[in-house]
Amino acid sequence: MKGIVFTEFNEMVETRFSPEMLDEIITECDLTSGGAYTAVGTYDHGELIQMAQALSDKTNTPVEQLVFAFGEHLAVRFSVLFTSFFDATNNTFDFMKTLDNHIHVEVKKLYPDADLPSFSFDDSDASCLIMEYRSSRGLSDLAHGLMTGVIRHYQENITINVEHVVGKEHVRFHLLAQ
Amino acid sequence: MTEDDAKKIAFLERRVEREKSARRASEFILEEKSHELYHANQKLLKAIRDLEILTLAVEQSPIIVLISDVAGVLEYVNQAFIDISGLKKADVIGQSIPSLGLNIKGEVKEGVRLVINEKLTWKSQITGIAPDGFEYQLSISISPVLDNDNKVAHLLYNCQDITKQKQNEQKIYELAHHDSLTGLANRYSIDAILEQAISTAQRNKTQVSVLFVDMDRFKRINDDHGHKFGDALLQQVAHRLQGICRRKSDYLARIGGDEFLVVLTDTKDSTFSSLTAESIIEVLSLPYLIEGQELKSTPSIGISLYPNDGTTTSELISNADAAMYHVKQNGRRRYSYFTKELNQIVDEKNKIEQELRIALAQDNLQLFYQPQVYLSQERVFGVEALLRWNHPTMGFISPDKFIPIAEERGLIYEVGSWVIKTAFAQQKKWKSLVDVPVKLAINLSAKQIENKQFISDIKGALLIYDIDPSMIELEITESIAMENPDHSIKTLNKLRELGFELAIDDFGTGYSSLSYLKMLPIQTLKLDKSFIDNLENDQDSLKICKASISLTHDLGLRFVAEGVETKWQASFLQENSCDVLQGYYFSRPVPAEQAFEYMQNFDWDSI
Repeated sequence: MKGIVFTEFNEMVETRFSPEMLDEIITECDLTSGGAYTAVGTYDHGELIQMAQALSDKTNTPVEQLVFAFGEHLAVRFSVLFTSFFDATNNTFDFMKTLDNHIHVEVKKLYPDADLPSFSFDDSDASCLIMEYRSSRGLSDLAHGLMTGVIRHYQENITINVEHVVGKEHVRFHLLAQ
Repeated sequence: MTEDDAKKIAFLERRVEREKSARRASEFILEEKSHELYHANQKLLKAIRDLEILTLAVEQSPIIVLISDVAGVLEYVNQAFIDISGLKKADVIGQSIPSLGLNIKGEVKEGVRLVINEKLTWKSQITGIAPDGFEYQLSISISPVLDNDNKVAHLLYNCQDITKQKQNEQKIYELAHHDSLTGLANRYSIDAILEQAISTAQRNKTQVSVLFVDMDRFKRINDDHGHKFGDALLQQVAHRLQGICRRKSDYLARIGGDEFLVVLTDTKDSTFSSLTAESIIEVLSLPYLIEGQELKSTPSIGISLYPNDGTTTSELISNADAAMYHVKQNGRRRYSYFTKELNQIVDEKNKIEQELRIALAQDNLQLFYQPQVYLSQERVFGVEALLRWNHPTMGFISPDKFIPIAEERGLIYEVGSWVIKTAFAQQKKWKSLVDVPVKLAINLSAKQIENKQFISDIKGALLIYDIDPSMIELEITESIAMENPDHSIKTLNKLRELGFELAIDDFGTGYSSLSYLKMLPIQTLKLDKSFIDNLENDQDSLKICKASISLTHDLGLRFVAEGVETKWQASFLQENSCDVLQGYYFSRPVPAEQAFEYMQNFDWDSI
């Protein structure tokens, strides 16, 4: 997993909770990387799960909720770091449709070793965009949070219904325009 | 320090340590990335350089290169195309290929379709027209340029300028199929035309006429006025023939020096060929005006008809030739059809030719020798070598019969050479038997005199048989000497330089010019036998004979009388200062042994 995800996660923990909280979970998790993340590095995604679990334990907050919140945080960060992707469209649906065949293609060009989830979509219903998430990492909550962050970025009134096809590995998101 | 402070310090130390580690890791990664980037850059630079070389190479390639999109809109052309098309690069890019004067139609369009659909390379030849009207020919190869998805993205046209090659091919075709002097078909192509005409006639049950036209005495014209003159005459003959044979189904060819062939197809009977032959004789006999000189020549024509006179091209041509030959021998300026009798003559000639070749190979010819009595005080003999052919089954074949055939079929030089070698060998043998050498007379033919090899051949024979050339008298007839006097004089001079004695044979029968006679380096005149035959009954012959002897002596030459058959003739000639006598009165031509015996036993007091 790309280092930016880890640095952003750490950033979020420090901001939302405290630098001490981050230090504690890193120390407790006894991570292979030692928690010394850099945005340009690549790390085992298991470390993120480990840290999320430790945070959950410490804060008595469900992991799903934390990962979802991290997704929302990432969306905001991405909109700052990678403005051009967000500026290319002016609404959530169009942005979502470019995800798999444009944004991820560009990401792949920059990071050929990036292991990205796949997103297919069904836009046959104009008011409901179905995004289908598939990833062996089972980070559908992260995807959910990201989508929510994107909706917030475009300031739209869209609700997301989550349909678990196969656990968290294969999930169908129904984005309903209100 | 409180416990809290200690914790805080430990926390901050951990954090600093993590930050340091992260920084080191990122520095290491960035260093690695920087190296990767550097190498990628180097690769890119090399690729750009390669691309530049490739671009320059394609741009300057002598092969014409065009690249278009699949719709045929041009994306690139190199300088070679600009050079041949006469167009400007800026005017070409973005244009469709057919608008550039390239003929991309029908077959080529189909080719382009194949290239796009089947991803094949397609080759052909096309023409192009430059803005100034210059037409050029290209060999073209169209191939697909595939993108990463294996889809045809562009079309690549490689072309080569074959304009010159095409022109040369056309020239070669013309040269191979046409006579360069007259522009008529040549032997090769008239064979093909005739073959086609035969098969058409066979299907349609029609007739084909082959007219073999030969200009009479052309050789003489060529010799007298030069080749340039002769060529001009042949061109006019060709032009006149074209004027006569104007039907689409008439074909003309020049197949030899002065030999023309007219092939008339699609005829029902021989009326048309007779009429055509008559017209040809009439028109070709009209005077020719060449370089301001008026000249006359006439044609002789032999005609053969398919299917009566032959069913193959060679048969028809050779039978028309035989018919023409018959005309030549019987008066010229006529036409004659091939006949059954001619057929027999041709068969017989073929047979004799074949047998003569065998006789030469197997040494079956024979020389007879007729003694010549020299009336000087030295009491010497000469002999004239005469060719004889006694065929094992056909019997005695007269030289009058086989010599003309040998001449016609190109065997005469070989026969002549055989005579020289055999006679030389015989003389060498006699020389070893007696002290007084025998003078040997040998007849030469026109073909020997004309042959460039002759002088060196006879010189070689002199050496091989160790012959004294002054004991050899080479005879040529008056007509041979006069046929091409300038050339004869040259050759005779060379023979004389070698030491041979030279004689004019059959004197009085041709049209000797005395001024030419004076120029010939001869030592002997042989009066024609016909004058000797009539000596006793014809006062004119007697006077001519006397005058000839006187003339001969005045010119400082020796006089030989041949055909002496009676005692009276011998006495008369002796009394009138004739130098040498030859004839049946003394001896017939006999085999070498008998001739030798005759000479050994000759009673000199009997004359």
